[in-house]
Amino acid sequence: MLKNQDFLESHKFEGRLKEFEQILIDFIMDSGRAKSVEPTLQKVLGYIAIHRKLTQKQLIDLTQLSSGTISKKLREILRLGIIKKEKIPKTNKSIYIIAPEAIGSAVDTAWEEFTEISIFLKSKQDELVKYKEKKGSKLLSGRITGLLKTFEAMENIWSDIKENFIHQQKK
Amino acid sequence: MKVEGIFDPEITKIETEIISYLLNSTIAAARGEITSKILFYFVTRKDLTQAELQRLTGYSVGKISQELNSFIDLGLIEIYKKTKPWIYSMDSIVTEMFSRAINLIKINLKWESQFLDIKKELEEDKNELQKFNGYDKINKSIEEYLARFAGFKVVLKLWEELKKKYERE
Repeated sequence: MLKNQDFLESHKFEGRLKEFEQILIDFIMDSGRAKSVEPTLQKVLGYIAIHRKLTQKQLIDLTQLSSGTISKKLREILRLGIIKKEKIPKTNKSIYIIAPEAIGSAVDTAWEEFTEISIFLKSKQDELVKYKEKKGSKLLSGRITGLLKTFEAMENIWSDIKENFIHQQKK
Repeated sequence: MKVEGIFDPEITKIETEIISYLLNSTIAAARGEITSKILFYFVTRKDLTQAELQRLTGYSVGKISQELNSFIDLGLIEIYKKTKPWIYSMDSIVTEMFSRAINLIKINLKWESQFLDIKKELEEDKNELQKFNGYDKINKSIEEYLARFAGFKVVLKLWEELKKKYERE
């Protein structure tokens, strides 16, 4: 359960620290562009990552985005499983918290989803066998094979990331 | 090189089901629907013209053109101008994924020296900077990213080797 001092802390950084915050945001946006992440979503995520926990009102103030946009983006980020939402005691407000452990579990969740997608794609590939003379069948089946191979390669990549993440946590 | 064009209806149905399934997954959540839909058609079709993409997605020429330029900048697709209309191509999905992952690490590492400078300043001017709100959070973020960069350097070499392996296959 959160205590009052956990959310009464000011979200406004000052002086040189405000400049460092902007550099961190520029970096996070640059990294997001390389991943084709939608910019407003990346901006919201970036501020939560730096501040660790923020209310919706604080996010509006920091990002200068509208309350509707912030609500939408928070729902999307919650769906990705990298932040959690907690109620502020004795209020009807919520606070959004980035949890280090959520990164590891988000990788696990994403991997579970890739497994489900692989099963679905294999079933579609089986269906294509029935239509092998039809136009587009050979191409689509080949592309599904490529995608399945990609998921297999991603499993290697993610185990590297996870290992690296666990190693950092132990330090 | 030629674009496959219109699939038979049975194949279009399967392709549409695949695209819808992927659009409802978290893979699409961070990119948004328009970017994801165009990207997924490259996954299923490999080679596409702007007109073909417009027919498949229903998006405007301007929107498609904007997304295609962004994909080219990110190295996700290539453009072939020897034919008219131009053909946009995502050749191997797996090597494209490795290229993207490697590119992402390199983009991250570009910031390392600037973060090291900030770390130095945070240490040297600690007494002064600690008077202001935000010192601990900025310091923690910088330390975490620098630790992440150290890990990235290890996996970068590994992924470059894996990419070569898949390119040979």
